[in-house]
Amino acid sequence: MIEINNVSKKFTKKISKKEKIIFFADKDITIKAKEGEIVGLLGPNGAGKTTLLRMLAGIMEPTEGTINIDGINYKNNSLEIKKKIAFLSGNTKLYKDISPYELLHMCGEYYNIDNKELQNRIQKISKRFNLVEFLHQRIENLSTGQLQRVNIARCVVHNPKYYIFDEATSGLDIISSKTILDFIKEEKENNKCIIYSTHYMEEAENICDRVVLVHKGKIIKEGTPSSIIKETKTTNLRDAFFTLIGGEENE
Amino acid sequence: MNKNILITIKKELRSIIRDKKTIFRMLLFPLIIPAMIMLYGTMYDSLEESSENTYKIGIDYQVSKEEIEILKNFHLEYKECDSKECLEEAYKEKEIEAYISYNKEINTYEIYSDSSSTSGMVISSVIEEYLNSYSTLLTNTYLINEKIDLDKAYNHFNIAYEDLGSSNYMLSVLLSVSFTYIIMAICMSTSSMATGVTATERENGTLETILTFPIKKTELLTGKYLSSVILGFVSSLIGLILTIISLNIGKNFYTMFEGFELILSFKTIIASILIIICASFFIAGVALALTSFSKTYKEAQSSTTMLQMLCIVPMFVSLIEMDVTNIYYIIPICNFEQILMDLFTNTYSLVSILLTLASTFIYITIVLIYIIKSYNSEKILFAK
Repeated sequence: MIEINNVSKKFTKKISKKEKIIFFADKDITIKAKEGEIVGLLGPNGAGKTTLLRMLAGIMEPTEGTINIDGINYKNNSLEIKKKIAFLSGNTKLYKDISPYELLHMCGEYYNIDNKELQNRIQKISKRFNLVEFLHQRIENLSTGQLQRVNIARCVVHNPKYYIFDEATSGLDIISSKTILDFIKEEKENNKCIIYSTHYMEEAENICDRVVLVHKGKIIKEGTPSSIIKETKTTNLRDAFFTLIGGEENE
Repeated sequence: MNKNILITIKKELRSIIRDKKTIFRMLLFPLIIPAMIMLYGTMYDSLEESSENTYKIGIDYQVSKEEIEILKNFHLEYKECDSKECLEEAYKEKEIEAYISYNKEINTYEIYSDSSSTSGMVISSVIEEYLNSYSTLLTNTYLINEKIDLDKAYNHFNIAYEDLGSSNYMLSVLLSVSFTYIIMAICMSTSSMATGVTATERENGTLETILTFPIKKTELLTGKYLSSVILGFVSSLIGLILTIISLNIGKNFYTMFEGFELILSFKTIIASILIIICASFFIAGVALALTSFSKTYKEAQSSTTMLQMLCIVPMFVSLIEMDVTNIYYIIPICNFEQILMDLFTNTYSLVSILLTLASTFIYITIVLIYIIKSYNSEKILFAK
């Protein structure tokens, strides 16, 4: 189980030699997510979704609050937690000068998977994501769709319990987005937990069991998509979001 | 060694081996060394030969018996012409390499030579010496005719030259340049590597991904740092081997190396390898520190330009023939080049080696503290 308890992240930005701005990217965030659940993190750009997911992936440390995964705190054993998670960001590119096989092998080595077991997993993964025909080609020669499949495959190699997707479908065409969304649904069936951030409200409405609406670093609403729509007396999550933030969209 | 560090080293080195540009940079500087040694040797020999050459010149005036003797002494073979036009024609036809035209009206000998070529410059100076000697001869003849004592008139004294230097200037410059190129080889390859392992990873977003793997930041940093050190060491080792081979060959082929002895004892080789290892650790660390906060590959490349320029400094120091004191051995980069030269010419002292090693150890520690601090900061992901 993922437990994000009262997490805040403070940043200091220098605007001139003498002036600094202190701001909170996330303020007092509490979210829980269990196995077999897809939790959507929704909000516009700059809402604090990426910062929150980076803290969840162990890239950043919270200024306040705690993050526990399966009862283990990041501060106590970050490496153990990292073995349980997979992180995929929309900005992530892959190493161009290696092959998908070499990439999967390298990832497996970092996760300390036994070589024989790793070979079996690579074989299974390459079949599952149709990588076989280009498994030994250089990544720089692959198409966008093939790259997307390799990117997902490298997340699966250590069989993680939790997936963290940060705007993973952002900027992708319908087919590439579908690959990711289908994968998310499949993994949910495998009782995996998925934290999924997006600013595409319709996408979240379709696949998420529960959504957390974030605005200006704070949670403004949490619940199932249908309950939020019902509560805000709207017809979709997009309108629900605008209703919840009131007239702020004009700011 | 830690498994995660080894995986990182393997990843970085594999990426470098597949990058033709980096491999080219890694080999470029070491390969320049033998070419440079051959070029210097050939240039020196041709200068030496040119001082003993016989030059063909043209003149448009009559020469006396005494003058003929002077011309012979200066290895000048002459062709007499009756006009300046005739001399110009002979020069065009390449019968002569330069010519002297006498202008009676202003009593001036005009020298015509090609100053854009080395031989033209040499001929010009030889002609000048010949004319000065002839002028002295005329003066002496006049003084003798006037029964004036030459010794009293000139207040004659002799000048004797004795070379106190153990080697010639050109050779010491060549040695300095060769050893500077070894250090530059480290600089070029580690700069390229550091740019790749920091800025490129950040630019591509792969650094963010790798930080989600179960690897400590210090392990990741150590892997990147060591792969940079390995590349620098390999590059400089190639440079060192090529320098030793080229100097040994040069000794047998070029007169510039006369009296030069290259020390190739077991002790010298071990000490020089130790020095290039130290240099690789230091320069790789500085390159990594300089590029650690660069946002893009381009920015990282310009960050390392200063380091590359600093690596050329020892070469300029050798040109001004500065006296090297112990303080010089604590100046990073300069000390590596100097100590390598000292080792191979048997002019090293234990103090200079210890000063080099101790100061480098301190500098590496400072650089590493800075890099570890940088990598432990979240800013490393997002740069400046």
